[in-house]
Amino acid sequence: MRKNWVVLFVLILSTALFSSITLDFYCLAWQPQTVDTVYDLVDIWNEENPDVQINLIWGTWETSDEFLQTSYRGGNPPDIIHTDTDVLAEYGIMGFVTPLNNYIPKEMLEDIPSWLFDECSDLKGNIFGVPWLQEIQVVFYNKSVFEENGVTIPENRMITWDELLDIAQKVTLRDPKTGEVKRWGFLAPTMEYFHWALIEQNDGHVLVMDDNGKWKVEIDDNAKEAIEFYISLITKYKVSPPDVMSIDYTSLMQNFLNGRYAMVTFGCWNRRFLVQSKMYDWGMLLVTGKNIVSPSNPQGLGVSNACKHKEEAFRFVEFLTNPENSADVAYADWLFPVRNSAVEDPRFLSSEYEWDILYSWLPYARNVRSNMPGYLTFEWQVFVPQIEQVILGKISVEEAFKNIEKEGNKVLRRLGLQ
Amino acid sequence: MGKKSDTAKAFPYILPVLIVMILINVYPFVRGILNAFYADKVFGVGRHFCGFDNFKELFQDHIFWLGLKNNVIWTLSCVVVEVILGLFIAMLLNLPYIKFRNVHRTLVLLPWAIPPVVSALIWRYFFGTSGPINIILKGIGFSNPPSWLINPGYSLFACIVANIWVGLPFVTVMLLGGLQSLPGDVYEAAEIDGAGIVKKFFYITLPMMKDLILTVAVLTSIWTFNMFDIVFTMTRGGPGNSSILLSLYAYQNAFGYFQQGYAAAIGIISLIILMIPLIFYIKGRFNYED
Amino acid sequence: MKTKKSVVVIANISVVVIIFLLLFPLIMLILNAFRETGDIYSKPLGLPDEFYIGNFSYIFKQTQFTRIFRNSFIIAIVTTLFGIIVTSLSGYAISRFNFKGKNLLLGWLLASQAFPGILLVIGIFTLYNKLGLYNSLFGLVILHTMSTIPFSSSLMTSYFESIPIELEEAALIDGCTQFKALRKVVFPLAIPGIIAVGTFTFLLSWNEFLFALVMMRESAKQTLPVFLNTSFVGTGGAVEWGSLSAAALLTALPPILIFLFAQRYLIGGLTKGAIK
Repeated sequence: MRKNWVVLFVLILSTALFSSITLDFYCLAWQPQTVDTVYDLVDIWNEENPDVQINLIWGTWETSDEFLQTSYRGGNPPDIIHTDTDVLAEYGIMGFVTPLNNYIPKEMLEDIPSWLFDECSDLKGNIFGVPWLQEIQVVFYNKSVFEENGVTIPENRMITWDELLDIAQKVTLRDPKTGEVKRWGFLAPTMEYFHWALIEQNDGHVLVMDDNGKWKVEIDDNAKEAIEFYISLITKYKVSPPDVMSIDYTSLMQNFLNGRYAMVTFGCWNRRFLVQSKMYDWGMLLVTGKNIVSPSNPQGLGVSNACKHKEEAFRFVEFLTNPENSADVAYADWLFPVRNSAVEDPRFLSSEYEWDILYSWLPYARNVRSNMPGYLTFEWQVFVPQIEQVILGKISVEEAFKNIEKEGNKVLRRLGLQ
Repeated sequence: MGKKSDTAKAFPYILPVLIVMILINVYPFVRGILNAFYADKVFGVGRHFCGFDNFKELFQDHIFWLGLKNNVIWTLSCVVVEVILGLFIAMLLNLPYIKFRNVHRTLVLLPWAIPPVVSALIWRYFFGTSGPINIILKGIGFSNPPSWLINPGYSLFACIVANIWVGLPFVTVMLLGGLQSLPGDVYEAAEIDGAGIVKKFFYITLPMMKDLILTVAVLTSIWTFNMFDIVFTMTRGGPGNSSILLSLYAYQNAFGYFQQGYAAAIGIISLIILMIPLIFYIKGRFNYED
Repeated sequence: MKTKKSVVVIANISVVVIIFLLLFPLIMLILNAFRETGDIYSKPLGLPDEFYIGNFSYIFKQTQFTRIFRNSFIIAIVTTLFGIIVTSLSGYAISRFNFKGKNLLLGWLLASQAFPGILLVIGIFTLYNKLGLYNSLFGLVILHTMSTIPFSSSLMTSYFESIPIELEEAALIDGCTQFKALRKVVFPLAIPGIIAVGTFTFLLSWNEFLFALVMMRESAKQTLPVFLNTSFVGTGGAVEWGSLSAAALLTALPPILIFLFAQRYLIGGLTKGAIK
């Protein structure tokens, strides 16, 4: 009891002396090593900055919407938030997070590829966040299965759509009597946005903006071709199982580990699971179309509009995103930092866990999700359910395209995009 | 006892409930209802009054109708199975000759000790394509067990199974509590008259338990109707909206899709639907009291 | 009266089978708590190779588990006390008095069960923010009490209705006040009901997710369900199965203890004795 009083006294004294402020930092890091790294960085910051104390709030990707939107609407949000860069742009347009244009120094602007800043900006040029890390989507393949079936792959690990189909057919294993599939060639879960990578590689467009800044859903032929290719892997060629519709990461990962899928599309952080599960004979591939696109899912940090100490909050953002710290967090999370100077860290060039191969694809990194605000709403409320109906054989792909345009435009209207 | 003095007498007893409910139930509820008359348009003009537009759009939204249908299936299957199975287990555990009766009574409650958010994860893992259930099915000779969560014929079914597992202990303990408060002498008298198990069940247990069963069933229905966390974790309403529930759709609209007003409209419709069993229940209850 | 031996055997076997099926998911959870996450991923259905306790040392050393556990415990216990007091008072009033607005109150309590959480949560958040109850253990206690009121109040009403009014009338004639009659005569007879309400309230509070998620800002003030969901579930729903299983197992312990305790009181048929 007495100890508590002493602590309280010291706290009051230090508050009086430094008039310190406390800022809440909502962080979505979750892999054990990343969590440790973030804890360490916050400790260092708090020690070095007694006047600006950071209070960590751990969130989770699956429930961050509930947490953030409730706290923004209720009027008491965290000061600094960590989420996808495109979500930061959405929150910015809704007035939840503040434009950082006046805070971002020139060297930071020059050190991060400009497309990443575009990801968290609105059309007027307001930058609502600082890009921090990026996840690259890759195709993991089972090396021993490839070897058994005599599949050779190019040195740069890039394969075309045709090659993907060809390999998938080669490695798909069917029971000669029953025709039952023992091993599927390829799996790209809908939740991994691989279909959007295909659209982007084929120069396709689904969401288009007119000159007045109004959005509409209009699927062009290139996009149709890409979507049809994706679906045909499942329905026509039967090299990919309907498991693409699963949201259960655990079972998908288990099936890859157990050799039921020869190739899977996942984020590059999954290397940790593969290593931890003692599967060592895996490699990574990049699928390419007309364009070479390495699908990237960037994360950033934003400062809330309601934050009373934006300047201090930004200083902390700067601290987390500085080359050294962002490299540490990214490495612990099996992702890449976004700052050019941080990517040069030798750890990201090592051949261990194929970092070097990922590194060689970085110049092609691009977010394949549309930059339309409300894209995720369109994707999950309209787009994916329609694609799934086609996979399930309930409707034809033409019907799905028609429904996506009709229902999609309705949703866009409700979001105020039309 | 006169009516007026009854009101005065009752007041101190119900005051705490009134304070809590008026403060954090009535106020937010009214606010939530009003929300349904606003369009959000978060990326355009912003929130503005729109009359009944949300409802008009809702009635043209096929996911709404699908969700409504699924929600009825979901609620009825969960409640009917929970009550029948719960009553069966409660009666078994009420038999005097069951060995280790107390141990079993505790064990049957254990699923309730796991937070539903975790239970949903466990069941998602269980129903996985090559998860434990299918491994066991293969082991006992089913060569090609279904992919439960990604087959539209089974996705809702799998969620129902998980939700029954989560809800069963509550129903069982309620009914067991009721069974134990039944007077033993009625049974003794019936036994002397030579009544068998079936007769005793239909002529004594069921009539005497009727009110409790009804209470449990109505409350579980309401509770189940609005419950979405199991489905949210297991299938997120998929694939192709095959397991979408109204409650889940409202939740997704409110938090995932930036459409609070639309979500509130769905909430109001659910409430109106739930009023139907409620009114019957309340009426029945009051008649019984008179 | 003798029961046939075959009936006894069948009944006993059915119980064991049902219990095993019901508990199967939990058995898996217990086994997984002693396996490494990587091992669980490569073998979905398997026994621990060795008695691996790394998951437990991880949650105790690397996470705020003990603190969160304490939060949950305090919140659930206080909510249970509040819930029992508040709802046995209202249940008693509803069962014994014909007060004005009784039908309105009953209807409202029942209807409020049907209020979808999404209609309430933002309003409550705004209100809590104004009242300064946001991010406080007490605020969450009040919210959980509110959630338990409709059901528990109705349950208490049913139990009180089953207790004959003659017993109190006798006490009232003996010179007791109504409140004393409630405390001394009715309350002891309603123990099974109170225990049911207490158990229900404790578990409601112990397991509640959405309110706890949005109301408790600080990680150090979180409750167990939110902690389990935020600490061990990552991108795309990837689950740290080892740590999650271990933490979930420990989370289940207090409810299990309560079941053991509540059980003993349910048996014995206090109500049965009283009605005779």
